[in-house]
Amino acid sequence: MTTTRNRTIARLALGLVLLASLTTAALAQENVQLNLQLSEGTRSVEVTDLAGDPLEDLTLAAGQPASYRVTVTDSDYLTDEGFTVLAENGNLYQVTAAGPPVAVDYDTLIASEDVTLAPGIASPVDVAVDLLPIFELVDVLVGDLAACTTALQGIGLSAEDVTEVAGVCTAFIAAAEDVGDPLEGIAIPGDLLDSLDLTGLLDDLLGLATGATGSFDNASFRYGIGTADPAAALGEETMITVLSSTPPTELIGDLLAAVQAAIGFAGTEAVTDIVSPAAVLQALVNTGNATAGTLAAAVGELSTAGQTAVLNALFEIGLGDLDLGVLQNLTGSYSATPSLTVVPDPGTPAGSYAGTHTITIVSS
Amino acid sequence: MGALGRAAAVVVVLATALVAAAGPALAIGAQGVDLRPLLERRDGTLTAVVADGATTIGIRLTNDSGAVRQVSVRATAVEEADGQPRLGADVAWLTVPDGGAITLAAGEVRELEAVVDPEGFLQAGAGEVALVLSVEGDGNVVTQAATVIAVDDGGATLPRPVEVILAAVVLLAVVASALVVVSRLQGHEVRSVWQLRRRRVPGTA
Repeated sequence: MTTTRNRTIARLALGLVLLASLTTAALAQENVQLNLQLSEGTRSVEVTDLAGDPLEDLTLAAGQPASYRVTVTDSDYLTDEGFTVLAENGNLYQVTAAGPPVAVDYDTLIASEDVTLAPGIASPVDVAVDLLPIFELVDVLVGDLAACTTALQGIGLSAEDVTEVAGVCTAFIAAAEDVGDPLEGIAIPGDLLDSLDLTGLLDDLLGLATGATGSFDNASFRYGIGTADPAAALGEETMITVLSSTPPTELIGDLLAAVQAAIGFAGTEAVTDIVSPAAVLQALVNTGNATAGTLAAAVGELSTAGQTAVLNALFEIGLGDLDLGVLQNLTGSYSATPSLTVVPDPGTPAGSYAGTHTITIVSS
Repeated sequence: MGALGRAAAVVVVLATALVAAAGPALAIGAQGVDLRPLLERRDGTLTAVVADGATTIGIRLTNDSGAVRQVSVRATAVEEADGQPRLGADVAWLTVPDGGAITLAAGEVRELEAVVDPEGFLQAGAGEVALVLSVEGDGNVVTQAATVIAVDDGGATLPRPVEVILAAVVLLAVVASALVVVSRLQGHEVRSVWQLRRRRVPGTA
């Protein structure tokens, strides 16, 4: 009988806890506006003539290189994604009617293998990233509950905040014992630094490179004039690398130094000179540790001035571990100026020849 | 109320951080036209999950070139040569029905759907494909942009031949049993009627 009553009481208690949880959630939905801005990055390729106009045709003279420009532009893209720009070329067929549409003789041609591509030199422009510095808590208040209480009562808190000191110190000591004593090393994101210019540093890390000079040994037939060639064979085409970047794997060397210089942070500083009290409380909650969450709630009971004073009394802040994750929203342009040279076989009939050139960027 | 409000705010901020971790949508573009797969990034790659009847992948095209553009969209295999990715043959199990010849007006945004043939996909067992945007100019230059996406089966599997045979045997056994039962019931009814008639015949005589 007693057991049944206890179970009933337990169920009622559980129901009340669930009801309280639901009430809290409902309050959150009613009172808090969610603002979420997800970046929609774009990586695009432009193929232009040397004057910067979209490339429609490239006039070739036998043995004379003709150049164009390939430019890859990143807008709010990711630093950990590489890309490859590839070129393929069709046979050049003798033109029988200039058109449009152009008419050609598929039996009279300059094979694509007589066309050579030299990729040119890669050059980056205006490479920049947003930098999200990561800081970490450094514990400065060492001691037991009594020491904590004494310390916090001496930092000029308001009378109302002083009543919360015991709860804060109990939570602080419990969290230190649970998370680790001292309670430190908890990562806190700082304020985003916009468009940090890293040209000459980041593009080196991105592994920007051009390919090697080569000829189009197998013709491409997928687009343009070559599609109607009776000898067309898909899937055999030669692709020559024009430009590529290899995704970086870590933040190293000069770039790390540049990032640290951009943050302008040395040693340790007062917590709230660098991040807001709310950021510290969020970091404590983000540990997923219940006692750290309790500490956040206890400090949250204080006034804003009280939170600032208490957090600065309990902690200092230092620079956290920096990796590629701190670099966001990559912007920049990377260009190359490839040139095509055609050397027809001796005996090739005189005339005008036309073929299709295809440039493809592949990225994740 | 104040404490409860603060606690609620912390919960909401945490939830926001979790949503943001899903990762940004990414677009690839050529000659002022962008192709954006309407997918989330998972493990660093835009990923489509083909499961629970979801057999389409949304694609958004945006023409920011300031001019009319002739484009096409298709899906190809992704190969590797000399350490560099390259496009392979078109993929039969992932097609873009309206991707053939598209005229995009300046500033136009258009959404397409790539359609997955689930059986073909499961048979191919492929993981990554490229969605390829081709932009054809007025001359003899074609510019393409390809974004590599992953297609995940979401844990679905194709029945293996042995399982198919076993299932067929079980089905045949069930059908055979049902036929036997039905025939027995029918025989019983015929016999009963015959016996009834036989009994009546002597009675009426």
